This record gives sequence, C-alpha cells and structure tokens, in this order.
Amino acid sequence: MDLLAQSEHHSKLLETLYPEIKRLAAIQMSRERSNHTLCPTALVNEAYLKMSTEESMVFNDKQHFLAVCGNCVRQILVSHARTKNAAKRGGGQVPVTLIEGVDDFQAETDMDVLLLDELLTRLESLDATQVKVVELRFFSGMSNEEISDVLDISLSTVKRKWTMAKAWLYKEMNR
Amino acid sequence: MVVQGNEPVSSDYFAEVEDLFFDALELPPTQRDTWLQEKCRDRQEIYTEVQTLLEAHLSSEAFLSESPDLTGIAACPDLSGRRLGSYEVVKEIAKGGMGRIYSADRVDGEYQQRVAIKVVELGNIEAELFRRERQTLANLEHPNIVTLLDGGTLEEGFPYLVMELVEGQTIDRYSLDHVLTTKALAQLFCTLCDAVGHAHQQGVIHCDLKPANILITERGVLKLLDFGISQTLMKTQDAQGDHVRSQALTPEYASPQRQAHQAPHITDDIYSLGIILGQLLIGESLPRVATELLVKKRYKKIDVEQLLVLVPSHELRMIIKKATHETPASRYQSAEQLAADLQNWLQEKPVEAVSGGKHWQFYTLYKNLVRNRHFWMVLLVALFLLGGAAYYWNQQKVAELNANAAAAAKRVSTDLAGVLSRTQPSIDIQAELTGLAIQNIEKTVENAPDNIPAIHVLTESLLRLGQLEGHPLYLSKTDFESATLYFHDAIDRLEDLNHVMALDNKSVGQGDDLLDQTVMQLALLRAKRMLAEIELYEGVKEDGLSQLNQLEAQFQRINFAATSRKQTLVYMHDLLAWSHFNLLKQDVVSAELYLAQAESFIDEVSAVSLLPQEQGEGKSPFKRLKSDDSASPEQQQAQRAREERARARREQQERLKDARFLRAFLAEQRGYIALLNGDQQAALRHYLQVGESALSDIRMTPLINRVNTMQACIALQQKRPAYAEQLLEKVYRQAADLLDAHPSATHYRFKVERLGNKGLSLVERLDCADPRYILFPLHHLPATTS
Repeated sequence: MDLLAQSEHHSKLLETLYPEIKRLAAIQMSRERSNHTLCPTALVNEAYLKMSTEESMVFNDKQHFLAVCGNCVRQILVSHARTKNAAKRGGGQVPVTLIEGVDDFQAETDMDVLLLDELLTRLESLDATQVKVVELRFFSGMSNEEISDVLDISLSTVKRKWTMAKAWLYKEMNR
Repeated sequence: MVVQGNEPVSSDYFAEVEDLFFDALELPPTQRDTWLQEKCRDRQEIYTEVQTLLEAHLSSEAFLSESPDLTGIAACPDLSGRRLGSYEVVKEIAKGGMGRIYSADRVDGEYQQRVAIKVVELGNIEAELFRRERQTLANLEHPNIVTLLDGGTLEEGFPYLVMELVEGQTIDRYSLDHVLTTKALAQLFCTLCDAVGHAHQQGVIHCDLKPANILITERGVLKLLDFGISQTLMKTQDAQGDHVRSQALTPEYASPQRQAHQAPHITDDIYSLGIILGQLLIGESLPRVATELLVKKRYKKIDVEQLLVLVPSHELRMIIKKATHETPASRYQSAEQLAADLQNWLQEKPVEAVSGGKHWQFYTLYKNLVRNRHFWMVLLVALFLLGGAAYYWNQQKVAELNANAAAAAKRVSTDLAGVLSRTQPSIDIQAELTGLAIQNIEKTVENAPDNIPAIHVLTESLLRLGQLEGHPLYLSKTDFESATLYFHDAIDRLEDLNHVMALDNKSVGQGDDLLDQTVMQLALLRAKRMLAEIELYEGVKEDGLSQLNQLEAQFQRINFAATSRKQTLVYMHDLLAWSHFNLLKQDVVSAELYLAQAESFIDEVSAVSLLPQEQGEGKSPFKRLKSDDSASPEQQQAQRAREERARARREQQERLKDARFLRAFLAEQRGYIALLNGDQQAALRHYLQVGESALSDIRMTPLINRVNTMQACIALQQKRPAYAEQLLEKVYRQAADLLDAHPSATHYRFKVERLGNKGLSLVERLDCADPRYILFPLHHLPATTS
C-alpha cells in the first residue's frame, strides 16, 4: 500500500473507529460499578474483535488497526475534554485530568489532556515516531513488544523513544 | 536557534538533543554535567535543553505510567427532569445491564403512576431491531414478571422501555436479611422457576438471569426483571453477524454455551437458575465466597464444583449439579422440571437428580427411610419403653428386670442393625440412628446398672457408631475425633465389665448370648485395636504400630474356644484384622497363620440353615405395633412370639452376610500374599472367589473395588491395558455411586477423585506402583512434602 492510500485508509478507519470506541466505552461503563475505571486496552481489543468481523472494514492486520486505535483514543479524550471545559466555562475553568480514578490522587500525576495533546502535536514535527510510541503505549495501553511489532522498529528503539518522549513531555509540561 | 517557546525546532537539531541525552545517560550521574558542558561548549541552548531533559528524566518515572481512564467519555446523558412521552423522569435509580434505569411519573393527566424507565444503550441498527422485538416482551403477562408498559426512543437515539416500578430487594439480599430456611428458599425458588417457565413457553429466553434481576417486594412478591431484553439484544446482534456480545452477559451466571456465544437456549436459563440456587443456598457465607468465586472469575466459567462443596444438602447439591451440567442435554430440560425436583426434595420424595435411574431402587429405599425417620424414632422409643415399663411393673423382681433390660437393649440394637443392613441409608443417617439407639440403650442400662448383657450390647453399638463416625478401615464420616470418643467410651465400659467378670470368674447367658471372660477380653481388645488403628492410619504411625504390637501379643495369649456361631464370626473378624495388620508390616508368615485359623472356621459359620419364613413377615413394623392395641392377650402373645422368631431369622441373615464378607476379605488377603510371592495366577484365583455384589454395600463395595483394582493392575502387568481400563471404569463407577450415596465419606472421595483423574496414567489412577495403597487406607503424601 503506498503512502497516500495508507493515510487515506488510516483516516477512513479512524472515522469508523471513533464512534465505535465511544459506544463500546459507554456500554462497558454502564456494565461496571460506578467507581470503576475504564482502561483503553480492553476497549481497543473489543473494538478490534468487533470491527475485524465487519465486512465493510478493510485493514491490513491487527497491527495496523491498533496503530490507529491509540490515535483514536487520544482524539476522543481531547474532544471530551473540550466539551467538558466548554460546559464548565463560567464556573471557573478546571483542567480535565486524565487520571481521575481516585479522588485524592496526587496532583502531580494529574494532567491536562489538552496541554498533552498540544505538546504531542509539537513533538510530531520533531520526531513522529515518539508520538506514535506515546499513542500506542499511553493511549492504547500496549506493551513495548507489541509497539515494536506495530511500528516495525526494534525493541530498544521503542524503549529509547519512549524514554525520550516522556522526559521531553514532562519537561514541557512543568515549564 | 531557540529551543524554548513555541518556535519551530528542526528535527535534525532534535535528533542531536536525543543523542546527547542518551549518551549522557550512559555516564554516572556525577559526570554527566561536566561531560555535557564539554560537548556543548558555546552552545548554551542545546546544553540547557539536554540538561533540563536529564532532570525531567529523573523525575518522570511515574509520568504517563498509567493509561488514561476513559470513564469520562462514557458518561451518558442524565435524563432527570426530561419528559419522555407521557412520563416525566424523576431521577436515576440504578445502572443496570445495558443501560440506566430512572424512576418517572406519568404526567399526561390520565392517572397517577410511578414507573421505571430503562434506557438501553445501543447503536442505531441494534436499536431498530430492538424496537421491533419489544412487542414480544409486552405479551409476557405473568404476576412474577415485571410488566412492560410502553417504549420509545430518546432524541440521542437510544431506545427506552417503560416498565412497572418494582421496589424491593434483590433475592440474594432478601434471603440473607430474612434468614430464610432452606425449605422457604426452595419454595421461593420454585416461584421463580414458574415465572421463567412461563416465559419459555412464550418462546422468550431470559439469557441474563442473576440475583440483580430478581426482586422481592415488601409484600414478599417475586418480580423478575429484564425478561427477554438480553435475548432480544443477542438476536439483534446475531442479525448483524456481530461477535462481540459480551455486553449482554454476566459471566458468573452464563452457561458455557452462552459464553461461547452459541444461540440462546432454554437450558442456558436453567444453568443460570442452578448457579443462583447454589448461591442462595450458600447464603450467609456468600459475601466471603462471592469475591473468591463469583467476582474474580469474570470472563471465566464459575467453578461449579467449588460452589457445590458449600451447599449443605447432598440432594440439593445434585439438583444444582444437574441444572448446571456442562452438557445442555444433561440439564433439566425445562424450568418446570427443575421446580418439580425441588418439590420432590421439599416433600422428601426421591429427587430425580440423585436417582437418575441407576440406583433408583436403593435410593428410593433411603428416601423412604428418611421420610419415615420420625417413625423409626418412634419405634425405637417404643421399644425402649417396653423395656422401661417392665421396670416399673416388676420392681420387686430384680432378676426379671435384668433379663428385660438385656432383651430390650438387644432388641433395639438388632432391629436397628437389620433395618440399616436392608435399607443401606447414608452413613450419616446410620450414625444418627445408631446414636439414637445408643441413647435408648443407655437409659435402659441406667435403670439396670449391673446388667452385663445390656452393657455389652451398648459397647457393641458404641463400636459400630465409632466405625461410622470415623475409622480408616471402614466407609465413615471421617470424623476421627468423635470416633475416638466413642471408642474410649466403649473401652471404659468394657474394662469395667472385664473387672467384674474376672472377680467371680462368672459367665452370663448361653448360646449366642453367652458372655464369659474370654468374650469380654476379646471385646476389650477389639475396641482398643480399633482405636490403635485410627492412630496408625490417621495419627502418629509409630505410636499406632507399637500399640497394635502390644495388643496383638495380648490377643495371642487368649485361648479362644468356639462357643457359638456369633462368637466365632466376631473372632474371625479379629483374626482377619490381625492378619491384615501383619500384611501391612509385610510379615507374611504371621498373616498366614491368622488366615489359616480363620479359614478353619469358615465352613462352620457358612453352614447356617435359615429358619423358614413365617406368614405375615415383611409387613411394616408399624402395623405390628398397632395391632398390639386391639388384639386379645393371646393374640398379642402369639404375635410377640412370631416377632421374636422373625428377629432371630433376620439375625441369621445378617450373619450370613457377615460370613460372606469374611470369606471375601480372606480371599483378598490370600490374593495379596500370592502377589507378594509373585504368583499372579494364584492371586487371580483368590480374587475370583470374591465375586460380585448386587447392592452397594458399605463393606462389600469397597472390598470388591479393591480386588478389581488389583486385578486391573495385574492386567496392566500382563499387557492387557484395555481390560485394565474396563476394570478401572467399573471400579470408578461403583466408587462414585457409593460416594453419591454416602457423601460424607470424605476420605473415600480422594480415592474416587484419583480413580477419575484422567490426567494421570492408568498405573497412577489405580495405584499399581505400590499395591499397599490399594489394600490399606494409606495416604498419598502431597507432592510438595518429602
């Protein structure tokens, strides 16, 4: 598949995936107890199982699908944060935190989704691979080994890119 | 070039930063800064960049370590205050299977009504199909099924259902709060089965039965929620060829077939009902068990066996086992059948799940005995009273009193032995009835404290009860502590009796009932031997061995002269027990001496000529008792004489059974000796003499199984694995049946489990490696201990 076709395919996949993941999340959440946290890994796997059986869907393999998934979860979270912030406007803007499972969770591990998204967009122009690794590892909950498979880069590169991206994002966030 | 701020930075520059960053990381922390300053001389900005990155690296350990929580994005719109058709939503009352449930009021002015509205979170296509199916659900009219009132679609596209609002507790909470008895619970469960059965008849399968869907209102009315919703969902998803259907499934209660996403079937609901029944029966202990069994096992099949262990009644266990059978065809085929079997249990009729056809007759007998248990108790009390009444009438005639006490005690004990032998109820029932008989005899003995025969009968019953409670060589309840108490009680009494008998060297009675010093000494040694055998097999082995060696020396000093058939039988028992003990010690020579002695009595004990059967015998004892009231004194006397003869005849039958067992036990030991001598053919010849047992007898079946196991081992050695396997199957089947009939024989369970463990080789399952594990109740050491 040439690059153009791949990126077209990518956006088409993303288009289908986006509502599906949201829906699966809603269904999964309604099944769980209210204080349950919803992790992306299970969701993404479920989305894959569902979509891989739909005939309208064409994508190479699981790897490719998962590669798109991380990006998709990122976009869902960003759009959710925007809506939530918009709703709260007037009542004092509260940053939407990504990790909110426990109420008294340490403030330093909380973070702003929108800022993270912004930084990732900047990082994209510096090193696109680092962004991919972050999307897969953080947003999709994949292991280094899986990421190495998906991106077709060595395991040591995955670790290196992850370490670098983490340090850079952390630095930029705490500036 | 500037690094800070939002100005663009080239990727080449960034690549250099990355290299410097990782090169610096290679160095010990203390050298990094100097090295970096050296590298970035005159390039302050790249130095700062890498330096801050290194700092960030050190503190970013936990950063991004946990994936984001997507809970937020899944938030559903809150419908509170919204008007839906004729209803106004009040507030959310629950989050359920596939959506949320709100309470709502009817506001169209027609009439006042509070309802529940369930929003089903579905995609568009599914929702459309779901709407079409709603009609089916509306048709389900049953007092125990929540009524569907109306339906519609939210502007967000989610379909919703308007239902009768049920306020109540879930069935599991209800049963805990109201401390329902097992019977009340079973009754309530039958109502549930009726409701489920009604829906099944309309072609609607619930597919998601679980306690959360079963409410009990304040008035105690059971209401089943969510009927058909899951099935409809599954259908809609099937229509789409969708393979992700887990949203409509609660793994703890879902049958293996549902979990494998096969088409829904009535038997799936039966499975869920079985699990729910089990859960309810465990009751109090549920919270503890729940985390272990139910919650943690998400997406896995619930371990039904583990659940079953906690269910208190064998029959209810079997009912649950049948309902939750792995194969749908082996489950109850309708909710009505399940309810009917529960009714059987409630009315103490034979439960189908237990009888299942095979040992139907035997099981029915057992049930009859249980159902009539109070009758047997009445009978035993009545028998005691006969003895007791004699006391008050004949207070002046002490001799007569003693005779009556002995007769009463003996009657209670032999009648009971006869009943137990004929009906073979479970060892629990046998122990319970034996205990009751002992209480009666004890009272008789209290009234006649010097009555040696009565006390002797009491000690015999105590030994029997001890064996039932827990003796390694018998099928027992495996309660060795209780057994020890009974054996000690018997020993104390026998020591007293021995003392009395030794004092004036007297003897009492004659024939079968003759009690002299030898008989008493043997009885005492017997009781002590049983106690020592518990020590040997279940306690400190060395202690048991030394005790038995001492007792054996005492036994050998006793000169036994056969006085009656009964005494001879008992003595043969002793001889075979001692040869058995010597075989354990691998002392074949001594064992053979005992066996030869036992063999010399065989013909004598086997040649019992049965008394002719009398007319009217075999009628229920209840009738006989009743006739006592109306009959004339002469008739009563004749009646009593007939009864005595019948009793004597039954006693002889028991002895024949005894003799048969002893012959088999002798052959088994001879066979083992032949094997030790390397003569397989001779061993097989001995084993052939053991023959077959028609009934699952608690002494014969284990013995026959041991012999069949030995034969299977020989077949394996002779390279006939097919035959060995055939024998193994037979042994396993019989052992499993026996265990079914006597579920509290827990140490036998291990044997059955090992026999049925397909993960082991034939040799391992049969224990052929060391036949001592077959002949003796030795324990396998756990694999972890040396």
